[in-house]
Amino acid sequence: MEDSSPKQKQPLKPKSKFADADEFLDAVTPALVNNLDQAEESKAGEGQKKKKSGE
Amino acid sequence: MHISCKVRPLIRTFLFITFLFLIGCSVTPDQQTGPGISSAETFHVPRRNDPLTPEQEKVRQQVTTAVEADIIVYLGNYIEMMTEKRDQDGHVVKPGTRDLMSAMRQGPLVISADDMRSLFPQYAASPASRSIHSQSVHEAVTAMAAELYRRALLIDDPRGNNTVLFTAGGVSSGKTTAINTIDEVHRAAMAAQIIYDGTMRNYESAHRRVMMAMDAGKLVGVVYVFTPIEKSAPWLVDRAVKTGRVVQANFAGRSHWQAQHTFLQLVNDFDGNPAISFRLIDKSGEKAELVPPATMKAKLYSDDGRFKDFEAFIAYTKKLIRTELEKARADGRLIPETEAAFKAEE
Repeated sequence: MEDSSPKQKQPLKPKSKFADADEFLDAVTPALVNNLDQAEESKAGEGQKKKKSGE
Repeated sequence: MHISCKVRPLIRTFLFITFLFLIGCSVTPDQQTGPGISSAETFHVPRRNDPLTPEQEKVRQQVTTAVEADIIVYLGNYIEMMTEKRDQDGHVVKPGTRDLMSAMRQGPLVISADDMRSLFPQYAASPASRSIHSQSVHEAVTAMAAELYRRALLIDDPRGNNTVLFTAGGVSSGKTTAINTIDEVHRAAMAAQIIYDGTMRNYESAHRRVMMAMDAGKLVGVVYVFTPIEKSAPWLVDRAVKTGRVVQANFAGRSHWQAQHTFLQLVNDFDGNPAISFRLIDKSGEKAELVPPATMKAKLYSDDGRFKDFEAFIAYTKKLIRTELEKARADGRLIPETEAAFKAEE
């Protein structure tokens, strides 16, 4: 009997240039980890930060 | 077959009119924000029944009516706002695009209900109005974010990524600030076609959004930034003081508590599936560090022994926020509207 839980569900084949989701996150995460502390500092100036939203 | 000279011009005219009609149909306002609902369909903003003051309720109705009447225009406004470039003084130096495909050619489409709020002048006019009307526009921006996400998933990424990045973690964890303000992070985030900026507080919603992305053939990444509530609370109050954007203690605490459980549940749900991956960034120490997703278990507020239950954690969050508000008041930085918005839940 097939398990219909999300763990077993076969999604459609992604059409990404990345081989899998791990490769995708490997491209994103290091920069985030290295700069989160800097983001912490810039939070202090959040009110004046360059806002894309124009707030 | 012989067609008389009298009939030929009529046929030519008919074909010409048909041609013009077909061209007219193919250039609808809907194209400006990509595929999805047509202008003939109605868009509905679900009612959440949050308790609102009469003033807030009035704005809620105005905003809901406006969005339901013209969702395409509002999504276009949002895409334009998110793609325009501004200088240090906030002046637009390069106009944005209203077209979803053009936006995705430039970089990731960031879907942020928080940023959507500023489309509404009733909310964005001043720090005071932001404090008062954050709740008033909540229903509309939540529905808009969901609709934009649905439409964005229909698009094959022109940059070939076909990826969705979900940010997760309690409010005021620093994740959005990093993506918005730091060039290196911004460049790395170009690997995403869509960035869904949120907390992933609600498991059902998070699971549904992940499944939608996978069903659309996208690779999915979930990055959770764990910032302890003690570190988060001062940022949350500081932002409210500076911008008027208030996140009440109840919601803030709930986001920190529930997002942890949602994250762990999703890690378990999709274990072994190469189309989705998870990262946990721990900001509890001096420096942010990448740790295995499963270590979230050791960080659960529900299990760390300090709080007997969820209500105790919310009470603790309220206390932290109250302390920060008192400091801001003592410094003369707190406007009455912001303080009132924090106190409205008590």
